[in-house]
Amino acid sequence: MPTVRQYFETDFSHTVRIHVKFMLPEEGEIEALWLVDFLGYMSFLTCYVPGEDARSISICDLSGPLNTAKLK
Amino acid sequence: MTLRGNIGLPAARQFPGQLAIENTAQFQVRAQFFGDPGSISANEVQMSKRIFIYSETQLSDEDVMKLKEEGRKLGHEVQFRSQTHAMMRSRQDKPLAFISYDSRDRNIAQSIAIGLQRLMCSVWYDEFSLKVGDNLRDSIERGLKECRKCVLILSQNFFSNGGWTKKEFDSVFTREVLEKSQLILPIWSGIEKQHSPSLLNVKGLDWNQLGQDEVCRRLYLAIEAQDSPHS
Repeated sequence: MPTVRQYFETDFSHTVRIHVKFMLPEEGEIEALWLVDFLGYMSFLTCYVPGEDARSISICDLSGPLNTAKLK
Repeated sequence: MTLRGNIGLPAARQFPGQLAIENTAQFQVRAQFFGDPGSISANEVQMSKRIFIYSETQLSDEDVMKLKEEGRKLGHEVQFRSQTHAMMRSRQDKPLAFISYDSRDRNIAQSIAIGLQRLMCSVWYDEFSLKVGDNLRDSIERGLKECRKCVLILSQNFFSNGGWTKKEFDSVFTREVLEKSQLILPIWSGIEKQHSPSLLNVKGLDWNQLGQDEVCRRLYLAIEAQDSPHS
């Protein structure tokens, strides 16, 4: 069975994928992708949160770096 | 925040144009479609509110809803993908039907594979399912083991082939006996049922009489019936 990680790496294969990574105090190192769909004229973000035991994921913590990611 | 220096580009077949990466002071990716004199920078492309979060942590439905709500307050539309998502998708991605045929009947097999895929019925068909470097035997065995049904293109060619098709036939037949289930969906092409006494009691479809659309429609119904949780 494909893993969550494999789906993160292979989903949206029609887009240009720009990889960034950043550290969060709780979640650790986060990998994010800025996906640019030139055909649909739309871009969006995906991120991978490792570790099976994170009690919660804070969108507040993710939001800042993700917004910076798209600006870079 | 660090740029990993890693940019993934779509396969050439998926992008009808050219992509250029400009590694200048302001990093840029530009796209130009074939025949279009203009080009677009990634920075000009509209940003959607959507964020996909792939997580190894299995959150409860309640926590996912909280995450989505929190996202909305910050202007994001969150889609959460965890092991439940991966498990359900993998179940869906599994081929529902395996197509076994002699290579001389490739045109029939391909018509059926395309027809079933159009009906959103995933199939294991060697031309679609085998990638360069795949282990042929492993891949076929996996396809035969995981499929819900096996479509056999039965022709003079099929029965005269003592190689792969015979092995596939034997393998499915053994699975039928072991699982006490009906897996084989025979498509007859130019021969009579009497060619295979073991299939005398299985209702098949006549390719020459019914043609692609009707064969695929009936196959789909048979495969879908098997797939239905109520069956």
